[in-house]
Amino acid sequence: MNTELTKKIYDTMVSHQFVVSIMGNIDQHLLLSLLKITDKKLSKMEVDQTMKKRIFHFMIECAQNLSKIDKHQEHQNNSIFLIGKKNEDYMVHIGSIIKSSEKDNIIEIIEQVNAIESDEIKANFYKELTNHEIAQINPFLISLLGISKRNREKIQYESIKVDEQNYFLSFKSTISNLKLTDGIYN
Amino acid sequence: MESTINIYELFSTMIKHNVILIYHGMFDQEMIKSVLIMTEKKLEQEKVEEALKKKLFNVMIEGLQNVAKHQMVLNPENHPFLMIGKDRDSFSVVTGNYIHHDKIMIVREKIDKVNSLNKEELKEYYKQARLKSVISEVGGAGLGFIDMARKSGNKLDYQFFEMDANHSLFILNSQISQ
Repeated sequence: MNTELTKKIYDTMVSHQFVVSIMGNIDQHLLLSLLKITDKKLSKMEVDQTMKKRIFHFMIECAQNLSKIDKHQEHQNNSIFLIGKKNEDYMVHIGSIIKSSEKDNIIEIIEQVNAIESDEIKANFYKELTNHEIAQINPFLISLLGISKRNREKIQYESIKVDEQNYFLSFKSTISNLKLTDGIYN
Repeated sequence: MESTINIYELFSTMIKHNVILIYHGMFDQEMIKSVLIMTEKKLEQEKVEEALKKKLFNVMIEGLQNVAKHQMVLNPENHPFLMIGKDRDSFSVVTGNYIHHDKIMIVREKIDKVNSLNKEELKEYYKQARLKSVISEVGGAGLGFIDMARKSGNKLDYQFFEMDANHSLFILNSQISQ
């Protein structure tokens, strides 16, 4: 690394208001540290406990989901965790490079969850849990339903083609102080 | 769509240049502790050997203390930062913070002095600086820079980038090798 490159990266961080960015295999230990640092950041912006819990739930679920998706060996440790800020909102992103062959199936499940009306999410979540044998439960579907249920919003995601073999898949959650006060979340 | 493309841009840059951690924000003791813990977890993943890990931590602590002591905020968007990069057998610890133009010459002289010394001379200079710092302002003798150079075993790389009429961004890069 050199100072010129560092300045370029810093400019990117500043222009998009990225606060923390970490690259790696977001395993349990690293996730715990990330949760702590996120907790401190959120405390500074006076986010209440309920909202914090939702964010932590999002981080844990997404990190676990991404860790379970099949990846090529060279991308096993290439996950990114990012906290960004836009105006008064904070955004939490988790992204990873996954195998192209996994992409369609994953997006199909996300779209399946996003197609459900918000007032039916909770019922679908419990239906999925109770209508199947444990071995038949799709953990990814349950996890996404859980996120949607808690955050009361559609799953925000993007996928970008990296090359023929790989896609970059990321999830995003927006923490808005406005949402805290206008009653949408409370 | 826009936000993810930005993330992917950053993601690609981080992969391309082996940047493993970036923190951009104010540093207080609590935050320094959290960043150190997070780095420790990251180094465990990278299976970095203990001796190198220790050197890296020593340099990080010095660098972060320097930043915490001198940090200033130009506007709500610009904060100090820490980046850690990994090369084949070494790590780079890079810190950035804002500095008033009046102080650039002093900082430059201190670092250039440190960079001009060999290992033995650096040891001697450290002793003198420590004695001097007892009767003057702590850290005023540039102890942090001397410590970073000694612990990293490498010359300190630095640059000032002018940000406005009165301030520059001071970027300090220490390379830590085995």
